[in-house]
Amino acid sequence: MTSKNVKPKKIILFIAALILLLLWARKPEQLGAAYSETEFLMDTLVTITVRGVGEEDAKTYVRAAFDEMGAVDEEMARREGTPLYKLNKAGGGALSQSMATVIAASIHWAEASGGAFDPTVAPLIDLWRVKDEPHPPPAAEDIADLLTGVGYLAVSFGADEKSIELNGRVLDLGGVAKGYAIDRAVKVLKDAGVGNFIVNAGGDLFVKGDKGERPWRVGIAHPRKPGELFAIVEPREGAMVTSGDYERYFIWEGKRYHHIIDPKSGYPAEGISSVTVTAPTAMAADAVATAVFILGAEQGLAFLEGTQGAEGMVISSTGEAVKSSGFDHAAPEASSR
Amino acid sequence: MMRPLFTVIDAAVVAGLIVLSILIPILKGDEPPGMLIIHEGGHVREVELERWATIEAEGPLGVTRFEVDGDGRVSVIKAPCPNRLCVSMGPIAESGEVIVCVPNRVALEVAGGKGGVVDAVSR
Repeated sequence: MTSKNVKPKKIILFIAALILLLLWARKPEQLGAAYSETEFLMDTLVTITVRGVGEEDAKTYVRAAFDEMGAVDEEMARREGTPLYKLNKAGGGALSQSMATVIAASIHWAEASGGAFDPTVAPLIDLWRVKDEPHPPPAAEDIADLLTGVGYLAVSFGADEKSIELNGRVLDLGGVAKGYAIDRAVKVLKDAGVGNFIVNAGGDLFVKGDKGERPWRVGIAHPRKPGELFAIVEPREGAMVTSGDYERYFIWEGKRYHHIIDPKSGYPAEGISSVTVTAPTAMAADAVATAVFILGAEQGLAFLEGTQGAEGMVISSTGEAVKSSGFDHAAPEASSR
Repeated sequence: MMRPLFTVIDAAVVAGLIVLSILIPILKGDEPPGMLIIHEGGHVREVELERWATIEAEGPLGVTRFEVDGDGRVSVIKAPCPNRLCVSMGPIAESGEVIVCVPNRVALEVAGGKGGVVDAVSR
């Protein structure tokens, strides 16, 4: 056969077939591969995934985002030597801008939740020692004693809000600092122009954009079936935080004691096994999730309905799931698994 | 009269290719093999999520030992940390799920496989 015998339509058909085969052979991710890095930070594993930027840029932006999160951890962890540790030890003092922001947000959420969320619950957290080996729960008298030293109303800001008097209280910012760190990382990525990313700090997330061929998909852990997902959702841009009684706990004489302490009773909150909250910022989602968990299903859902921008799904101790009115819009279920 | 560039047969061939390009990935199960990503301090290694495997990871406190059962579920079975929270965290099986042992700086993360439909797990 000579070249004169090759008809144009055969060439077109051949090219069409080639294109189709190439489309079939390529992996969807290759159209905009995601880049991920993982680090130990804030007592958990943090993974930042970005998509839609070149690998070198991705490395630079992810590194900068990790640095932001690390800076928050260095400032707001309660371990010895940090500025928060020193602030607690001194009973107050001058605040950095970031510390003032986080403490003010903590107080705001304490007021909004009627004290269900309380950043001064630190003495009770220490008493329960949930991170230690299984042990008998604290004595009721010890809990009652410490309860007198818990209560955010005693904390007062200086007139310029750049200093604080703790008045005998001890701050634990664990309920919001991780969320704040995520928000700082999100700002770095957004400022760099990254349009598609997930910042995942131990299951507390901020999601933006998509994976390319589909939206980002997030599994919500099943609170009673390890290794299984309760639901798979495709959240819109924003934060998603889950608080549960199944990750940090100890069992003593058949009873489970988890780490979310009700600042009013002094005991681990009961009634809910897991709550997942979406909000515009991770700091808000973090605080609201803790508050809802402590308030319980009924009051918690009422709190969610009254909190602008926040939605949630509560899974009760008996396994029933109840959603706030806008949860399905904020985090629609994935179309297929 | 000029003959049309494409005949019915040509159109059928193109349509057939389109159908094949959609069906082949579905029929051959276009999913990556499940991987277990092991974070050991600052190091990361990946192993295929084989069934019935016992694997060890080294951290500053010692060896964290974990096993993969017949259903591809990963559990920590021995840990040198004081609180052994990591032992109570598993098993994990879905892509994106993580077991973390902070004191020993070891973390296990499932990626891809049959559960590879999620990009992260909120927990």
